[in-house]
Amino acid sequence: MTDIEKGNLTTDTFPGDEDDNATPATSFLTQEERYTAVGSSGNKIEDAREFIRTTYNQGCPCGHPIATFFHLFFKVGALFVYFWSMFATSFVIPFVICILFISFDFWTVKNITGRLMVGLRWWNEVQEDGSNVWRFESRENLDDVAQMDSYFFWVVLYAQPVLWVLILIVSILLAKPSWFFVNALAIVLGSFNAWGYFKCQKGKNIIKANTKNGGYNLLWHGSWL
Amino acid sequence: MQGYEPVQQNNVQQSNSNTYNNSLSSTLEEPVYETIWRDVKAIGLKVRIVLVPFGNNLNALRDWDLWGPLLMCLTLALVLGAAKSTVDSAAMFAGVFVVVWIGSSIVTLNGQLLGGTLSFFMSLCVLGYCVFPLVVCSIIFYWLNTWYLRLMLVVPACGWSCFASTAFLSGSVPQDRKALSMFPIGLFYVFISWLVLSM
Repeated sequence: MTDIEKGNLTTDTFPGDEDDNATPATSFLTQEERYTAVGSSGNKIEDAREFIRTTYNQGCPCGHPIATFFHLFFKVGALFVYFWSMFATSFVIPFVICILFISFDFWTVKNITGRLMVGLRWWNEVQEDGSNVWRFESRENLDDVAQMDSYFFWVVLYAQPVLWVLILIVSILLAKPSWFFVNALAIVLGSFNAWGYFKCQKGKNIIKANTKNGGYNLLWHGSWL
Repeated sequence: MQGYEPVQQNNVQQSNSNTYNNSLSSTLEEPVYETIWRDVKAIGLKVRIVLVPFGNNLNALRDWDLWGPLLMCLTLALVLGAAKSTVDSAAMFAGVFVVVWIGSSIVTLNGQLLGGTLSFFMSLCVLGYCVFPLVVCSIIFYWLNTWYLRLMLVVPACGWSCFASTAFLSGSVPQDRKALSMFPIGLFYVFISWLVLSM
């Protein structure tokens, strides 16, 4: 009879402890991590359930599967259309679709996937006198950012401009000048996003924000040009 | 995700840091459709401001976004390209696209070098949105072929674009340089009107 069946729920062992096979939900965690997760309630079973619930969502060990999908979708779409246009004869429609995909990707990563997946945000503000201020923010409590989400987000974010630079080199060799604009746009927008989120991580000059309802720290306040 | 009042993210003209931080934290948790809808409304608002460029609307273009210029440019290029025969249409599309973007950049750069205080992106935004009357003209001209009717429509549209853009941009350049910075803007819109007229 296990401890649970005996009605003793306050022990330090968990159901399934005797059985070393991890469940699919938590197979990416070590045994330590699986059973030492502590949430707000203090009860280890509740906290473990809470931990699993927040990081295992619809069959994927990441916190935001839809955001992850869109983080990739427009980038892959732009690449796909770009390569398809190399062999297709039409110019205008693939060009327009590529430009739109790259723009949507920039907007999605900047406004949606960044704040959902890693809790970071950056933007530009124009003051009363016309000067520019760049703002970089992070969520105050970053403990619940899923590790898969974070890993995936940063890898894809940095890989995009690098990949497009390689494609630019290849297309210079293949001499397709009409697509340089698309290439340049992808590189510029991708690097812009990468720069913005990189700055969010720096963590200098943290100013405590109003912490009601989970406040957010203003991480960096500077001026640009 | 519920329970937060969506506040205009760009409404941060207050100097009180408490209200500033409150408005920020509410937008960091907002649902996705709120974000999308807010930006769509901002674009629509700017188009309406360009149509009636008077009074205290001038400050509303301060929150720049480049969606407007992109959409105007793509629409103009597509319509002008579609009006040509299939052989020329791709070249026309590319040509118009390049003219609008590089033209706006050069005009903006000119304004900056003459000592303008507006930011680069804000000028780009204004110039892009002010092409809107000419975009409407080009859509009408897709079906309208008589040259004198086209002329009667394109001249006021060009004047409207020039007037709107100078209303927004002239405040930021020094007095003695106004003509020097407004002339390229006029040239830019006259060139686009000529392209639209001859489509």
